[in-house]
Amino acid sequence: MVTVQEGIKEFQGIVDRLGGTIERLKARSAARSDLIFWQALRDYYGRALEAKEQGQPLIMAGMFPPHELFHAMDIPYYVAENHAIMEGQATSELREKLFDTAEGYGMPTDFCSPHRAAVGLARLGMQLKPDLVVSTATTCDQTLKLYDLLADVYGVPSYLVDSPYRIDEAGLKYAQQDIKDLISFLEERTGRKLDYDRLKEVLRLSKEAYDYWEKLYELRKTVPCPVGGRAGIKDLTLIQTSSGTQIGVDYFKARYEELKEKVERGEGVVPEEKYRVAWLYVLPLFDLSIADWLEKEFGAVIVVDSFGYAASDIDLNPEDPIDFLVKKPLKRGFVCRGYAPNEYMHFVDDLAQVCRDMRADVAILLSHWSCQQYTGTIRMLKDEIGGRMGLPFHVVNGDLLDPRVVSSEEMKDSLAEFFNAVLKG
Amino acid sequence: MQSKEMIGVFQDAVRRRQEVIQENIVPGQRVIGWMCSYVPEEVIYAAGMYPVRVWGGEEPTSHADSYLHVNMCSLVRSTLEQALRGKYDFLDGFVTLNTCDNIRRLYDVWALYQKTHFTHIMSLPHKVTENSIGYFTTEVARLKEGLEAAFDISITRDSLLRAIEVYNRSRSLLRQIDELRKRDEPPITGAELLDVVLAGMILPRDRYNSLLEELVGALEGEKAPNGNGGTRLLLVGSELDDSEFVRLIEESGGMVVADDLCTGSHQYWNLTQADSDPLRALAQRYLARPDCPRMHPSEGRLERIRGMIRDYRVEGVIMAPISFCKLHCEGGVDLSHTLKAAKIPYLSITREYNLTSAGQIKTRVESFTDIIRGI
Ligand code: SF4
Ligand code: SF4
Repeated sequence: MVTVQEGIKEFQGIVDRLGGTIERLKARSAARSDLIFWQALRDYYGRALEAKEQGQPLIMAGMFPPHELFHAMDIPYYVAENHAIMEGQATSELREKLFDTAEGYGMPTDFCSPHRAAVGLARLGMQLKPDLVVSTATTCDQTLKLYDLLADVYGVPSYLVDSPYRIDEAGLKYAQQDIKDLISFLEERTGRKLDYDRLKEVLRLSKEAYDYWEKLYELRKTVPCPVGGRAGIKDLTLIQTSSGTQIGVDYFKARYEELKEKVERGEGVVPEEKYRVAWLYVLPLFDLSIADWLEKEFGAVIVVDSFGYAASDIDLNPEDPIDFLVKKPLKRGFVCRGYAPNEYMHFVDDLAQVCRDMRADVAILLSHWSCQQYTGTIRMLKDEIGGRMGLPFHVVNGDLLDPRVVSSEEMKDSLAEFFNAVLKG
Repeated sequence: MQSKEMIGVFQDAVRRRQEVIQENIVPGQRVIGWMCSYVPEEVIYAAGMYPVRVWGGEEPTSHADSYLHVNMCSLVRSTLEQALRGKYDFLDGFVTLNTCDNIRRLYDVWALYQKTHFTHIMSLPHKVTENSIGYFTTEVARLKEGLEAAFDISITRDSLLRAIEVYNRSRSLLRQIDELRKRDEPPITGAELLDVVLAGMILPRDRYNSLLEELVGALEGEKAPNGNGGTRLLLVGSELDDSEFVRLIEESGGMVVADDLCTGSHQYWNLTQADSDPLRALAQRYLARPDCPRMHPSEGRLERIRGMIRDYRVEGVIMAPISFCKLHCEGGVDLSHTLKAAKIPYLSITREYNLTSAGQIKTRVESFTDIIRGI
């Protein structure tokens, strides 16, 4: 039985650790954006902790719901998948304990590893008990079921923000009404009233952050690329935790200014950029150092990945709040856009265009063992990008968070084989 | 005819599904393949076309595996294999919905690599609300308009109303048969009923209805029980179109008296209610049918299962998801906790689309039913 107290100790520990990181960075005169990043994360965890300690409502959210609404209604939230990834990255002992717990609860081992970690955390009482769960039908079946399970573990009400398969007129209307229904759900459950003027203010801040995020993506098109493969994950984390807040804007602005300076100096992330890699998915989250290794060994820089992809073809208008909230997820990530059908969203064409825009000269796809949504696109992507476009295309088998599926070493072997073949021409 | 003989007619249709379809195509008639029980078949029927279920075959998925990764469910891979082997070349159209990640990708690959004249994917909401019914009505209308444009025809309101009537008739008849399963000794086994339902996805609908009428008459007049006196079981799981699997259970001490299958009771559980707008009536019927685990919240599905356990006096539940079917595997997690809380014994058998390891399944079901009977 999950108790109200559960997770308080763990979250307090996180807030303290983040505080320690900030102090250390200050002492080292780290980049401004780095300091803001950790501060924003500390604020985010701190808000959740404070809500729990004061008996205020707390939301457990998915990666794609309209988090801005929560900011506007002053309801703290935390993203279960992000949190699970962060905890799952901590130590292999903890990771395995989380997986074992989820499996003991009945989750098969072929389930998406961040999800297994999330259920493990919930079952072990290692995270704050939410009062509400809000998730989305984007991005996949497993996400859909994960939040049902979590709501079940905690015995709390949940709301699923539905994602129509096409954003045509009817789909848009449906999704807009669904957001309005979510607002009613939140108002009823928390007793707080949404102030639309406040929401517009939050959305203006969110838009500002998104605009900078898009500009960062633009900067990554520069040769040589000013940032490495890990950048996308960091930026997306703040999009999820802090878009709609001033500190979120501060982070993206600082980050943009720093990178712009680098670009003006003609400085790349590696001394000699030999390959520009379009990583057509998410990096193995249990070992992000694979990105550094690629840079060091082969001068191969990941110039785009699913997390760092900021689509510019979606307009967000803060003066039309509901429309903003419906369209916002479409800006983010291949995974999210992959939810839609090829014939309408042109997912394959979209990714091919990304490869061209980023001036990629190789494309690599991590075949995450549990992700059918994505592995189901491999053949289509290979035919288009590897075939018609003629980019060397490689599929590396692996898993996002579970090295027992494929270890870092095995992934590196596979990547090395590919690059050596490319080098040989 | 005796009920056994009648059932044989349905079983023959299922066994020879591809040939039976060919035998029944009226010259010049369009044939539309559909996949997933949320497709409102009535719209296809109303267009004067022949709706048939698209499914897999027995062949290994050697071609399909190079289009759809091996971590995808064997149903979609087997279905694609059939398409790639040209077994669905006779189709004029393929209609499905964004039911699950696997079907979505099957659709993408089908639309991209197959030459089927009309391919169409409907957007299926994940919940049942006034808003979603309104939205799904526009999706049903899009299917109608899509067929009209692709084949230069017009689907009239009257033909839609007639289609609703015809399909409601099938469902009422199937419900009558289903009711008989509540008896101590049902006159029809779970495997037989599955074939009866599956035949509806193969035979032309009007002929199917006449056969059902006859079957209902025969079953109701039947004196001798047909059931095997086994443990009363509820079968839950992913798509199942092979009654051999149920037969295996029923030869191992079980008697399937209820099911929560999209190829079983989901087909006939609810009727389409009259509405001035037939498209809306259809949208409502399909969204209100028993929930697949993709629907939110899961409570609706769990509640229905609890109700069936009560009404059909179920003694045990067999969960049979197809491996890598995340919806049914994960849906099985909350179901197993519900069953545990209600002290209902359950057994989970993860299977492939094509039946394998029959001996192992038999042994597991035997010990499961033995435990329930306290042997
Ligand atoms: S990685 Fe794939 S399976 Fe996991 S959450 Fe993302 S889309 Fe779903
Ligand atoms: S069996 Fe499961 S994964 Fe396969 S098509 Fe059906 S719902 Fe989708």
